[in-house]
Amino acid sequence: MEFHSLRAELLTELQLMAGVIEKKHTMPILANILIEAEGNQLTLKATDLEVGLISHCPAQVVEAGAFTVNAKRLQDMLATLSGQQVSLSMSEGSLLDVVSGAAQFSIETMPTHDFPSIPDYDFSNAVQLPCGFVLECIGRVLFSISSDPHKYAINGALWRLLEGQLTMVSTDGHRMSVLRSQQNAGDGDFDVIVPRKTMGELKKLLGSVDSDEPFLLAIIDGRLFFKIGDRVLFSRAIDGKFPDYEKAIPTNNDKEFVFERSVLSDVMRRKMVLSSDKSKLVRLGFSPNRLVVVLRNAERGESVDQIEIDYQGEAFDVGFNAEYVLDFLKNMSCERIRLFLKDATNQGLFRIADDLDEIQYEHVIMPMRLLG
Amino acid sequence: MPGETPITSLKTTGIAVTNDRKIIHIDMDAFYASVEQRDQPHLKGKPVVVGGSPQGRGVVAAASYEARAFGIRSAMSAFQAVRLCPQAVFIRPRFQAYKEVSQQIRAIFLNYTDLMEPLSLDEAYLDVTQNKANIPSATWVAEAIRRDIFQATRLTASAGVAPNKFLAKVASDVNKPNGICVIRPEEAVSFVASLPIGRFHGIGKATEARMLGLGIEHGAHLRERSQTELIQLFGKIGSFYYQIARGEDPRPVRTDYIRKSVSSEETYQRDLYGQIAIDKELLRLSEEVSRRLARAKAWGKTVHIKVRFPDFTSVTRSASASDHHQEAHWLAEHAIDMVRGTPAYQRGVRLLGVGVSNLLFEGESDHGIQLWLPFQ
Repeated sequence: MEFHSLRAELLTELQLMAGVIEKKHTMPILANILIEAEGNQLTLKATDLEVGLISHCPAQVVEAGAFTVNAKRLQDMLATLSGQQVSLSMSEGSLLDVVSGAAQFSIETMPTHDFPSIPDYDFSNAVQLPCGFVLECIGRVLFSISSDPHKYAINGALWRLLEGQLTMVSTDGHRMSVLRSQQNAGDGDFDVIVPRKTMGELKKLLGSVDSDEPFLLAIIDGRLFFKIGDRVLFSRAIDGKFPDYEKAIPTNNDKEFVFERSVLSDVMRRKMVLSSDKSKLVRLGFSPNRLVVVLRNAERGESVDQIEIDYQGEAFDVGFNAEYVLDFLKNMSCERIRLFLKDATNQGLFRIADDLDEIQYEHVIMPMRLLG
Repeated sequence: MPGETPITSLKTTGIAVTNDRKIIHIDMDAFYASVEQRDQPHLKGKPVVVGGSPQGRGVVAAASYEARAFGIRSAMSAFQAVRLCPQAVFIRPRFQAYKEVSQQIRAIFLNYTDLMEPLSLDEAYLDVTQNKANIPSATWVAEAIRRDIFQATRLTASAGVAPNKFLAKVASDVNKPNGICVIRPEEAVSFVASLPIGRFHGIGKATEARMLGLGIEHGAHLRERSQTELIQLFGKIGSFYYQIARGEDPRPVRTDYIRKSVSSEETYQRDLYGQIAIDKELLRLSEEVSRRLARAKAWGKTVHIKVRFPDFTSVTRSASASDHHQEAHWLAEHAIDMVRGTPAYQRGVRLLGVGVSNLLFEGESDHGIQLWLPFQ
């Protein structure tokens, strides 16, 4: 086995693969990457058994063959080498030689038959969407996916295609993102929960291609296959019952406020300076024409902001976790947001004031009950 | 037997600590056992043990003075107690009855001072430097309180009167039962000097043994050691030992107890084996803790478990969440998770405990309780 390829191109692929590689090293082979050299390209495969990535890289293949090697080590080697081109070869034994310019590494490989088998896929019946659109959608729901291992069913985002409407929902039980869009995505309604890790990897892959590129999704035997440009990401779908999100979207929040996103975002960032693990409570005090936002931390101090608002109703207070509000604001790119409230104990509903017609997005944050 | 093991801590009230304070420590005599003897007159004069069943694995919660004559002490296993005194009458505790008496005596304390720090149902510190009855002598106040208690409850209490909490607590034990002991400020040093080290409140069995090993038998020996030396030997608590060796204790009587944790544990009649039985108990204990949290209007962040195996070895574990909770299912999830990491399912358990700490209370305006989305 022997091939030459451009160091930068191979390194880019390895960097994308790094996110998929198993970090806990429960099985040494899962820290490895499988590289197959054939024709005029390399096929690279990595998997942690739940999520996997298959990608390609052009190469001048002198002798076809395959090997599997520790992905991090290979990536680190390529990163420290300086030549433009890199040559990889294996002759006898299990050592892989990596040569670039005057530098040479020899590293141990593992038998390719130990590498887990990669499931078969086929995109002939796939749902198709533009990459740029999917990237935008993922950015708006990824941050509110639960990472609590006890809440298995919400450790991912719900993707639902029903009668031409694509819905994506994520929640951690305290907050929830709901995104809806009419899409001409092709036939085949589906309802799947895409794991958090997969969502993160998708975001990375989508960020590395042109926004007009097609994004394909095929669901085969409970497995999800995503095609982004030349790369294929596959993943287990979460086998669980996603909560009935419609029930948690408030319908009678009668008080509406409009904020500049950057203004509210600055206010919340100031709150985070004094917040601690124990106190992330921001108190929003609404009164005619004025909103006072306060975070008080008995050990650190107090932060107060006043914002002029168009409000003539009765004064009331509502508490939110500053981090949740900031997470929402950070992950949006709009100018202004709308906040709909009912009272201190019912859901706060955030909407984008200047949203594209293409996407209807709602973010729901449960208040913190005020104790004093 | 079920046990509630609250850990309590104190918060400053801003009461100035002066050198000429008058502190009383009141302690009911053989409290649970005395209540039983009062309510069941045929038990009078008999050795009475309140606690777990002698056939089971309970412990002695209280022993009457007649039972103490046989060497029975609280916290001893009921099994050991029955061996020491087979004719003793064993009674299961009636906490409701004890709570009622406790409320009566606390009401009496409040007639004399608002500066009352309860230590348990039957014990409290009172600061009577200034008292509502304008009685000039703390000794008279203590006698008046003992008299009031007896009139209201037909139960006796002992009292210690001293310039600080440490001395008052030691003093209340001196003339027990139904006695009083007064330590005047000028007597403090000599009283402490002759006090055996094991009688110092705050020096437990293990520390006592270490001190004896170091030749510290009496307060006078403790007093010979420098503060630095005591801190090096015993850690932070060393500076407290340094103070009490001089008969000093600046701790004020604090009225605003803050509960720091809530827990529930149970020792089983027969060891529990297997995941199903153990998880079911963890859920039941979690439900109990959750109810107590709700009653205290408190929410916790850190879950603790305690597991005692059939061979009496124990393990404890704790885990913290990112926010505060009160729900039983949340407690149970974490408790089961942690127990799974111990050999409990394989080895079986003799005792299980679930607790929660890092508490937030209603009224803490800096904090809020994160609410849950209504999916149902």
